Amino acid sequence: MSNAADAAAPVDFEQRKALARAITSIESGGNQALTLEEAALATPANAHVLGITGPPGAGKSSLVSALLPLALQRYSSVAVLAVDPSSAVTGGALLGDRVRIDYRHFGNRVFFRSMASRGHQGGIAAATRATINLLDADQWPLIIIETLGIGQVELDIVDLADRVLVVLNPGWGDGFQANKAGLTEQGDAFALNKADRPGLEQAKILLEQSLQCLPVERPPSVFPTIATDGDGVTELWHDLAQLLADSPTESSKKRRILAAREAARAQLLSDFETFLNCGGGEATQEKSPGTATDLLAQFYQQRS
Amino acid sequence: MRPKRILMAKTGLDGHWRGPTIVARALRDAGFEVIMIGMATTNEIVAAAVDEDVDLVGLNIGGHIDVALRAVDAVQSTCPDMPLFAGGTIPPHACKQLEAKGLEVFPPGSALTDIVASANRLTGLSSQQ
Repeated sequence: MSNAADAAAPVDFEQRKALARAITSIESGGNQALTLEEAALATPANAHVLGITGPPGAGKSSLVSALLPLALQRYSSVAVLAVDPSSAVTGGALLGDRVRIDYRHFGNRVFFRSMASRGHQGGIAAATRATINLLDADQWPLIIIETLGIGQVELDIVDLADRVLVVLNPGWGDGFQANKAGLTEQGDAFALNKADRPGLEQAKILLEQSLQCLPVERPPSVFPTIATDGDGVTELWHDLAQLLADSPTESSKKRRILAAREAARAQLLSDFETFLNCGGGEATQEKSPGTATDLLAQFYQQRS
Repeated sequence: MRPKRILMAKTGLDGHWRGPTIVARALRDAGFEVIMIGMATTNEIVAAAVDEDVDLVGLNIGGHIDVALRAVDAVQSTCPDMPLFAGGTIPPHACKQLEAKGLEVFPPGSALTDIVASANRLTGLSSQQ
């Protein structure tokens, strides 16, 4: 079916409302979020997950916009999760990724959700993992995660995505920047966006030299792009599509392990509250942390 | 409590960004998650309101009022309980038309504090009238 024909098909708003509300529940946390993710994890899932990360203003959203039509030629539908930062002062957020994205002609085939980080460190929101699992269970064959603008180490996306595209710009840094740990170790492909700016050749050479030192068979490729004109985007997508097609299902396993860990942490916290309410709070007062944990262990033994 | 989410959209062919940007900033500073969509058609506004599961839709009215009224109708028919408010360079007769559909309207000269108070009220964060 052509994009144009499908864009004309009516959007099933009731189905989308259910999905949108489930994501809100996951974002709100608590037992309902855990139950939703557990149900999602019980459903067979096969999505490809593409992470897109890089510093603020590098052009991540504009590249998502340019890549979407190409992605829709290969995948029947695409879900996009775009993370932006929450204020540490007020808790508010300005979620502006939609402004850059021309998702408009895709109707039922594109689901787009903006997500605030809500105090979570690492470039994504606490709810991002569970939301990926939910979208995966909801049969979206390609899930694109756009992180908030990151610095050198906020790379949690690596644990959630099958493949990660790092977006940088000409003039981004010299040879020392290119060889620092973090950002340049973790990408599967690199875009030097805004390639019409001065310094492209030097940035490309320095980045490629750094990537060639990685202990991998095939170093990641570097693609000059101008997202707003579409320049270089086809070449970039060709590489990403191949990387996704070749990707093992490791990240899906990792997401499941992280989900189990999150459930265990929630259970421990709830047990700890019980311990405190059953006299543990008083018993551990003025005790060293070591003694307090011994008392907690005793409490566990008595309970089992 | 989770932060409330507000969609901010521009109706019609109007490229003036300063107003909605300043309002979005004030709402952000008041603790809201503000999803900016920019200039959008009626269908795009409805789709964004649904996907983003927002608590309130804000329309910056530019261009012809009929276009804005169509957007209001579409949001209200797809999301029957969704509150809306509107702002922009809206002439008095158009304000009345929007108010008749249940919108709170903020024409030029409105104070940001009043807009924030309205957002608090419409998302159930405060009950003062």
